[in-house]
Amino acid sequence: MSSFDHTALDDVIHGRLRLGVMAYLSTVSPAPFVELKAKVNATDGNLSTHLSKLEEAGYVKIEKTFLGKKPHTLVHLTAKGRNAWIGYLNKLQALISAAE
Amino acid sequence: MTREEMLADLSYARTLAEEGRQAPLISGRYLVLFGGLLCVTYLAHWALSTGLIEAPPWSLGALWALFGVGAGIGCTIVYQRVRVLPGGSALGNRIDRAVWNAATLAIFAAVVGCLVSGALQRDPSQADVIMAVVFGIYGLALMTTATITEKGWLKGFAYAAFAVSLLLWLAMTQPWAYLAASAAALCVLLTPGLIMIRAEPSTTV
Repeated sequence: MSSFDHTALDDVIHGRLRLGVMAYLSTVSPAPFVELKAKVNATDGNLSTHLSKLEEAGYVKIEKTFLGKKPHTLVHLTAKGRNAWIGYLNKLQALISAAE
Repeated sequence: MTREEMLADLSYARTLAEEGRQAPLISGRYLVLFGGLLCVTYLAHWALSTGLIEAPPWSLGALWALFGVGAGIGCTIVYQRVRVLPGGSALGNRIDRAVWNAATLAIFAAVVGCLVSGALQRDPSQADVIMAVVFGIYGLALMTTATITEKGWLKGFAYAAFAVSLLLWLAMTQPWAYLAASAAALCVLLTPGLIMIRAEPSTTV
């Protein structure tokens, strides 16, 4: 039986793609949707689905603008999202340390 | 989930965060624009003020007005390109923009202050102070960006800008000061700008 209790981690963040989104946004915010998509190697639909979950939790804010005539979607990391990200990293570090 | 899987996730998150933190600087085109424009304008100023090119006294004012128009048009064109480059919201680029915006205001204050003071005191030589001040401001902006983004090579250009500023303070009112400033614009603005452009991400978003 592993002593590693991963259920203590924030479910909203803890998914490979959402983890990548949060990590990138922690240093680049707002990030254009297409830039984020390229960074996490996701499809439009897949990224949109995961961003919706993060947005529902209040971790990101989606802003739809235009660059000239082209639609331009920006993804912002919110203050709540940054706190959740820091909390997630702290929890992860504690879990890994405990399992050593 | 095992510890190894979690370490792999952590490593993935770190890689993405590092990519964002180390995003290339995308302001190189502005440095090239102003390095090129200032080089030509300082050179023309030197040629006019030394009599190498014969022109009426108002020509110096016209020259700098032309510089202003060129800078305005150039900035508009550069902005169209820079705004679609990835990494624009990265911390390094945000700080770089903030520093250069503040530098622009500081330069504007120095230019207006020197010109108005020179006009009130009927001493046109006060305008010569501007060059020495602005190269110091370039050095400050370059050094801040270099330090925040950990780009050591940029610090060399910042030190060069400080050295040019010192030289221009010492050479104030000397006819060759504008010629020196022309060469210095190439060295401390245009050259680092070209280096930044080479490192820019090629894809647009």
